[in-house]
Amino acid sequence: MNEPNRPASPVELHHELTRIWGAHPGFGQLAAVNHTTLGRRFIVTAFLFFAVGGILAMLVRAQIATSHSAFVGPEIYNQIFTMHGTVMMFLFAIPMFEGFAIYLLPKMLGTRDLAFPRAGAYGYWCYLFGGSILLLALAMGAAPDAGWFMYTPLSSKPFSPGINADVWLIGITFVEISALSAAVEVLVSILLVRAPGMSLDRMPIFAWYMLVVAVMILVGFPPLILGSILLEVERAFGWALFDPARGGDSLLWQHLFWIFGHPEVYIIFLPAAGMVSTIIPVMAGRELLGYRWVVLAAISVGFLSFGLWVHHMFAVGIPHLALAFFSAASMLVAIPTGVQIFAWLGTLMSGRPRFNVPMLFLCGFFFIFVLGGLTGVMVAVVPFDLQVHDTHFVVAHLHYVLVGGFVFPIMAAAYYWLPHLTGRQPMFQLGHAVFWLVFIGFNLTFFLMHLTGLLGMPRRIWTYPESYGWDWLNLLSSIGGFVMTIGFALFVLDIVLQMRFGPKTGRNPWGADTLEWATPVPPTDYGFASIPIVTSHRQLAEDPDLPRKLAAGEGLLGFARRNWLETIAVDMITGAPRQILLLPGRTFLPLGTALATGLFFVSLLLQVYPLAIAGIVLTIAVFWLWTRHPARTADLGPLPVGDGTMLPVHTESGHAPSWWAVVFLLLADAALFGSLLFGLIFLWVVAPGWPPPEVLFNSTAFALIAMACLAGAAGLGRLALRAARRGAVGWALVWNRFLAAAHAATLLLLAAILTTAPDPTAHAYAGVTAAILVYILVHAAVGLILALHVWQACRRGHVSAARSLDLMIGRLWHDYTAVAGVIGLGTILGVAAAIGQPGAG
Amino acid sequence: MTLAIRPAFLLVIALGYTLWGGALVVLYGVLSLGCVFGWEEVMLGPLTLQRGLLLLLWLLSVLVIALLSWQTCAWLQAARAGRPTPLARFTLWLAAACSIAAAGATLFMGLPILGASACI
Amino acid sequence: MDRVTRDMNLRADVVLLDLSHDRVVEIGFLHGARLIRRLAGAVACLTVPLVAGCTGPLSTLDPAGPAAAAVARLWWAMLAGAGLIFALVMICLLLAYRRRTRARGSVGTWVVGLGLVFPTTTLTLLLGYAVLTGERLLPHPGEEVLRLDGTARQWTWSFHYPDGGPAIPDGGPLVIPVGRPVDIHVTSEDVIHSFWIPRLGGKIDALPGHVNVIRLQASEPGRFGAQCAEFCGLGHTQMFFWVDAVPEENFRQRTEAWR
Repeated sequence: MNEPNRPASPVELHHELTRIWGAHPGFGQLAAVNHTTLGRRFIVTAFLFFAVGGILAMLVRAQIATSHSAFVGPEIYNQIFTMHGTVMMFLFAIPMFEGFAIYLLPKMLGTRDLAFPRAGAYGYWCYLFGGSILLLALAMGAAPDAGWFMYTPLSSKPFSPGINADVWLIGITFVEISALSAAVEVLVSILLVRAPGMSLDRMPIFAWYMLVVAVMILVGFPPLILGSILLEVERAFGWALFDPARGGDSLLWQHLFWIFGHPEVYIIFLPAAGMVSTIIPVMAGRELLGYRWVVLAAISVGFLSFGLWVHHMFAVGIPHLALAFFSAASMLVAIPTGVQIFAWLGTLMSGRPRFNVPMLFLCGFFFIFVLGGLTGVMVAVVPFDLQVHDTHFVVAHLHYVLVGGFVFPIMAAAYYWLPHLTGRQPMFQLGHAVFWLVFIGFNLTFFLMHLTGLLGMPRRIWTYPESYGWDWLNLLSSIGGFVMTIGFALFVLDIVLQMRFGPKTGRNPWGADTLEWATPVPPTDYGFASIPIVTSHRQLAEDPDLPRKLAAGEGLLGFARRNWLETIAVDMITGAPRQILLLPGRTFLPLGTALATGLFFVSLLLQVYPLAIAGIVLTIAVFWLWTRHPARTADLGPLPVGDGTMLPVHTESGHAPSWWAVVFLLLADAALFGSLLFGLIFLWVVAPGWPPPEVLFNSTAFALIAMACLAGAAGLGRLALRAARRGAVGWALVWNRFLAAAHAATLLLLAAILTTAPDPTAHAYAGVTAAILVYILVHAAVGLILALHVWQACRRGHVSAARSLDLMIGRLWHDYTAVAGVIGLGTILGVAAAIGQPGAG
Repeated sequence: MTLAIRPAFLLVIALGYTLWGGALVVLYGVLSLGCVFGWEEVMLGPLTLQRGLLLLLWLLSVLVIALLSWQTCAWLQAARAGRPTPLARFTLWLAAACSIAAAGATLFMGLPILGASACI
Repeated sequence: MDRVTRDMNLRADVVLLDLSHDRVVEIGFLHGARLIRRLAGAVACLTVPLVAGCTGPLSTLDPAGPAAAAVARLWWAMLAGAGLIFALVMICLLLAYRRRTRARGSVGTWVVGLGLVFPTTTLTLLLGYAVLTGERLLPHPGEEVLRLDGTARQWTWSFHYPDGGPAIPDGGPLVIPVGRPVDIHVTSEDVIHSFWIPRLGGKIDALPGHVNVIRLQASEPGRFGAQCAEFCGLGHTQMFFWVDAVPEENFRQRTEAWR
């Protein structure tokens, strides 16, 4: 095939690409899937939630500013502090860095968009709808009120009979869909969708940080999602899971929550650290000192943060040696943090640092975050933690870490990238005032709070007597809180003024060397008119003329071919170009899917279960429509990319981004399944009220046949793929038919086992066993749906020797389901045998 | 020796810390089981069964990750002897450094086995 | 001779800080370490303006027992170390802007030396100190230990002695003897609560279905506050009781009276 015709001029290219990549105005904006638009939406929405969380914080400070306050009673106060934590963690911090990552990453990586624009849009709508559920509940006075970590049994039905706890469990799970979809999207995009030539050692440091964060989300969020599902099932259907009177254990919730909850802190910190690592070298006028050490530190923090969840549970009665393991691990995480801090300081010391508003906020970051880190080491010390745990000392510590480690870098980032977002120059007169108000207000609020905690003030009390001597400290903290709020209000004003009146900026106002500054500012929908070929990790510094060349279409894909949205996918390690990625354009499907998903979640919340089932069916049906985008009835073959070379399109070249996405989704799935198995073993060893009165004993034959069916399905999936790759689509159809039958048989067998299994409401053993069975059943059901999809694709001619991606993805799923099914059913049989038949001795 | 760096090599970078995580889970798990099954009361010479087992598992995991570090360092050395690309140097260095860091983390984490009470 | 002089000096310092003559005599015979801790505590608290000191019924900085004292000592030590490290970072940041000449951007100095070796050394020492301190506070088996069983429910505690001893009336002050270790075995009948007498030592959670043990000891008579530390619902704030530490004879008398 010949090279497509190049547009006559850069302006014509710009118009062509804008027509293809942009969303229509007005109502059509709801169909936007573009990363620039979505990134902005995430950032703005997260900031609105930050305002809500901030107002809630002000209410908290108003209430405890003085002793004997009569502002609100405990009913309202409990909702306020629960929602403050929940909003700030789930609706502000995570979506905020997701927004920055979605906005920045494709541009930094020198590509036109992320790998899955529709998934990004779907994630955004899930976030918006889930967050709205929580806010609506707050407005109606039915917000969650059991604390943001929702400890059972306080959050269980007997002690929280209202809808409040359900709002948390269902709303947050809904929101977490966006975290998971963003994580998969970011991970696959960083690994595969970069500019050609961008090998791992040339990747911008922010991409390394986000790579680590994305993996952390995939492993860290599933335990909480599992915990939320189990707790909701206990609340709604009475299953025994966390109830100590029925063989459950409140500690199971704590483990599941904190296996998520501690990595979460670093999931929030690392993106901010990535921004710090990006901005500091620019301001210091030199490269980042110890690039590979910083990468090592980011990876180390990512892993180590999974080994310290128990430090939130030092007081629950765990043996000293176990506490000491986690104490040691908690101290360990300070070491890579130290490496980063000193790499940044060394960069500044050996450069010629400029002093401006972003740098001012970074200095604030150093001041506050280092203090938070130091108190973090203190609370990692077991005896000290036993004193200050659950006091205002910990409140002070966590705000130093999160505000210092996230809010200050984000404000630095806001001032740094605002010229990029708006195309206008900053007006910094207000920026200094913003900094000093927030900085002084913050320290006044939270520095004193350390002492308040040491003087014995516990968290979450709504009033206190004068005689405790906490009055003056709390009053000053409250005053500081209001000073800080004025600072944030001024920040909003400053941003609005800049967006409205700021003078237009030229390209790359800071003299940065990362590729996001090679796009036009404000960025166009397509990002780059043509894709750069990267030869250095400081591409923009070495080729300052790059932006013009790219706009003129001198890079790769500098043309508008057949109205396609094209970008390039590369080899993970070397960055060698591998595939042309054909992306979907504007579509209402993500919004529709999120609405269907929302129907499911809202029906669950209102306990209208038939409608919830309708919601699931509808969601699957809409997702089915997503597959129409890449489907083709004929091979395209290799296509020219603009430099004389030819590349295949992603649907015809094996391991496409969507295949990798399923790999990473299965990683998250495995983390969820692992947590479920951990739950069974944990309860068995630790929970009171074991052994259970009744075990699953008469289903061995069914379970063994189900395992055989699942293994058979995996084998058939492989046969079908092999046939398709030979071009024998007819045979693929045959194997696929058997595959569907195997999954259907598994469904029936598991349903049969479930009907004869012990009553899940009677004992936690039966509850977790049933949960494992349901888990495998759901996987077999999805396997069946995938088989139906492959059937349809084969019948419509979408499958050929080259176009076998659907079958490859199917094979992954069937393999995983077989392994999980065999492990799950094997565990159930093994535990049942080990517990033995009660009454038989 | 030249080593072609394939995507699977990313797993080698993650392997050391994955083993560290495994060691943490195993140590914590064995400790919990030992306290339930009374291994702290069984004496094996100067040590209790509990502590002996924990010491053994700890040192074993340090050893395994140290071997991994040795291997990744050997790859790095071998590559340096040739004329490696910056990418190869970076990737091999990262694998070696992550393995060494994981070995150090495992060593540090297990130090309390030498002193802390196992079941109180 | 040497020691006497040192004690005299310390005593003189204490006189400056504490105007109560009784307490000076008492403190004068304390162990050196405890004296230093008190001195450091007093100095630190006096530096905070507008406050009468680090006292208060729930203050962890006004310890009245060996466990709380060990933790307070740990706190002052860590505060000093943290202060130095914080100062180091701030000085580096300041120097980055104040220096005329640029520092050499050496990965060895900055990243490996200051970033890796320095914290590793400090943290190893801290881990040792922490584990040894923690070890001393554990409820190791002992002869003299008094056992007390506490049960939490929303939003009150009840206590009794397991060996048929007298119960303590609900809501009444919990009475413990001075100078004798007490193991409190806590559990809960409903949600999670946490047992905490800050002036005596750390906290332990009361979990439904589990019994946890904490060892506390009062080294001086007095009345101490005890507050539920784990959020437990609407009445969490009010889940408070007093603890009276009384000399052994008084302890017998008072507990006899409830029989």
